[in-house]
Amino acid sequence: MELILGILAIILFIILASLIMVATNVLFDFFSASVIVLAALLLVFGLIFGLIVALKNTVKVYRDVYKAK
Amino acid sequence: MVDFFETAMAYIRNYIYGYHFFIDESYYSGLWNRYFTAAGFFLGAIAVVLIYLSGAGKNKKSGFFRSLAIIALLNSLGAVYDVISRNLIVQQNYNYNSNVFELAANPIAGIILVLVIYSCYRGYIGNAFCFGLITYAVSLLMFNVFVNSDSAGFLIFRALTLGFACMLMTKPKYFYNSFIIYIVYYLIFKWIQIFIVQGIFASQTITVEIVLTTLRLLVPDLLIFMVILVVSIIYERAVLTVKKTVVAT
Repeated sequence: MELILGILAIILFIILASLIMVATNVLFDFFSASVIVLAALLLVFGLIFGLIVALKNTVKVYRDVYKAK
Repeated sequence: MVDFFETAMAYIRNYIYGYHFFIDESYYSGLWNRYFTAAGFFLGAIAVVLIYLSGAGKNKKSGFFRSLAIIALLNSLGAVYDVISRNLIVQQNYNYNSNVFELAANPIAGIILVLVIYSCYRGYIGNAFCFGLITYAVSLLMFNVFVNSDSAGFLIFRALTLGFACMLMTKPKYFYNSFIIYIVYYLIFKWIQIFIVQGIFASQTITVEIVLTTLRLLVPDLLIFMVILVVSIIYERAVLTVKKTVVAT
């Protein structure tokens, strides 16, 4: 009985370990596909946001300097 | 403008089509067959354990997914480097990124690697070793290097050495010092690869002409390294030092 249970435990361990490896590989491929796109989007949005803030500040400084007169 | 959007849409369509295997059942059965063999099981187990150990910080579960995402990012930057080196600088005589084991071995991935090691792995020298090792070794372990590659010894040695280089990179005070360590490591292994492993100049005696030809092959890498190095030195030595002085006064 113990021997059968031991063999079953080993088989279960191998199947579970293989499933974990498959899941890791799928996640790796998924991250390879998505993270670089997310990074590019983050960069583009960061640049656009920074540009908008810079333009806003420029307009504000222009107003403060020239409209105050 | 219309051409630009059409090209962009075509690029996005191609990109999505490149990953359509996620909805293909044969992809999952292929993975199962790969890991359900003796060699595949052994290599996959090493990969999972190394990714687990490469997570910095106390929470190992989130560290696993974090380091897996960063390793995947580093291994997907080969395409970006290819685009830069092809369009920006010179046409190379040989394309070493076409090899699946070379995906993370480029300066762009190197910059991200040094940034991650410098900012997240201070005090975690063992985790830094595992992170460096698995960054290069993940493709070897997942694609079963013993079956697919002739230069398995070199690739394993290179991955191990990157682990040691990452251990060294956790020590310096400034980012650019860590980056210099990576540059030295990268150039040494690129020269070994060009002269010995790929044997491009193996049968010839080393002359000035051959050295210049090799340098021409390395022009994109050297330019990228130089730009990042100069920017980081100026930022860390000029901008940050001035900020600290202003805060102190």
